[in-house]
Amino acid sequence: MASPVAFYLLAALILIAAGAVVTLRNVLHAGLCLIVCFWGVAGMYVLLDAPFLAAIQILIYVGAISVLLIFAIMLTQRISTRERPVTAGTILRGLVVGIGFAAMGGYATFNTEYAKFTPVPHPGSLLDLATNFLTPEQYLVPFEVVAVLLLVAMVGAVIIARKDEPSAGTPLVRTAPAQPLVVTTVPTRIEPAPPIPVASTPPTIAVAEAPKAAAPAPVATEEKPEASADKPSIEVAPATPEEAPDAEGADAAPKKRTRKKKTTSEGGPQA
Amino acid sequence: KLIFKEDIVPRDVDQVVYKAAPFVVITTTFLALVVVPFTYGNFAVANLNVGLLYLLAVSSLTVLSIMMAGWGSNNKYSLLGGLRAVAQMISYEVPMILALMAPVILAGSLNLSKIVQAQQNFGPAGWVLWAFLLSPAFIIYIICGNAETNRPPFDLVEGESELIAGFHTEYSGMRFAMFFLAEFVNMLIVACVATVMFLGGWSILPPIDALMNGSVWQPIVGFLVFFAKVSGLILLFMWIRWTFPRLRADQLMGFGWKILLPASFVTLLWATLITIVGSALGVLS
Repeated sequence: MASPVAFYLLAALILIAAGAVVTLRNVLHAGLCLIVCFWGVAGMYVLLDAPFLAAIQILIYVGAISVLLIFAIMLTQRISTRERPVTAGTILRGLVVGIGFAAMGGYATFNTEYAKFTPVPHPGSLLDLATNFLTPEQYLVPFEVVAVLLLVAMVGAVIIARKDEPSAGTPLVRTAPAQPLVVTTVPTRIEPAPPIPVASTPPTIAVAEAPKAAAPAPVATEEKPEASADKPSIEVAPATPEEAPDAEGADAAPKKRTRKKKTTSEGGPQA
Repeated sequence: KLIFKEDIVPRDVDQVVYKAAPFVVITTTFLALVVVPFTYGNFAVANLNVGLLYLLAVSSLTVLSIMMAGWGSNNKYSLLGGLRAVAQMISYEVPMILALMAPVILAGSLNLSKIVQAQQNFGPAGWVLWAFLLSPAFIIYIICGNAETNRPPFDLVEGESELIAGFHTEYSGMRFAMFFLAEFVNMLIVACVATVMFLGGWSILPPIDALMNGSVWQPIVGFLVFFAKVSGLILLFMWIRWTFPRLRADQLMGFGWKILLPASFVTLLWATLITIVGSALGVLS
């Protein structure tokens, strides 16, 4: 049975973490708080005698989705320090959306039986789950359709990711074959990086992008996500110049410092 | 020794994330030990029905702490090491889980104690036959387990020559000791899981087990047998560590996705085949 103390502790944890997700300025901190929130939800599942769901919650949401999220934040280093100005307009919009959504969700919750916090009738329902999913009379067809759908999504993602460079290796590693890909996406890095073979650069792109090397801010900013998806190295980031000197508070300052250091060490010959 | 060393916190680190990372790594690591059945009679802290899933879920959280450490240190070597660690651990988690599914299919349960019991009842040879039949999955699991714990030859996460020490470059004193400890506990967990899933856990051999049934000494002997097997596996890990040179990053990824993943699918089919044939012959229940 669900203990009320554990329930309220977990509920407090979830609410505090969820509040921190939307109020924290640093995106990475917000992402980490999201993980705490997911963790609390997993605890709720345990209280509901659904350990399978709890394990899946941790495995999928905490172990996979959040890690992917934070991975993306880490790769696009710039957004972890960006500050957006808070004006009366943003607060108003946030309040309207937030209150509206809370009212809707609250109304729906208190008018259904979901408001009752009761454990599932059959603890350890893993066998039931498997039987329901894998008998033809039950959910076998939807289950298989979902599997095919996921496969299609995966193949589609692979095709999109490999569209322009069929010979590229796995995207998460810095490999020798992956180097031409980086060169084509961030052409401003041709000169300062001696190990990259210049001969492998497509000449058309080199001509087209060469004038922008002097002031590459718009191009580089647009191509940033793509470039970072191709290559995990943070060396991509310093090649693009500082977009806005928005360092504010303790979180932003260290980032700015390292970036400046890297720019001098690598982007030096370019300037 | 490391407790008494000075704990240096670099000035520009992200204070919260940097300081939280060692605690996260230690907590998540020790959480995994909860479900391991050490000896007879379901001797585990929590005998969960979804024990293996829980174990996989909790051990996948190590990635998170490494990422926190790498990012929080605010150092490009740490960040690179963290990114490498995440890429490596996510890639090798897939074949590892698939390899662990082979004994699950054969045992028909995710409960670790029941998997050990299934091995005890697996014909007269018990777990020896089990381990022989599932040896491809076992080998895949050992390789992936080595990669998951970032041990050589998969330790490019902390490759000294290129990354200083990877994600824990900036850590010193007790905080570093916690990462260090977590790595060794992780190795212990990998060895425990391999013992439970493939090497029969606490079981010696079915005839001897039957002889000892009901004896007071049974749990103690089971415990010793379990740890003898675990120690053997740890010795194997050490041996691997001192034998093989470090891989290159692209070799690592290529090996994980192009060789281990298809191989683990084949072992899955193989385990299914054993189960079907075994059920048809009446050997397996």
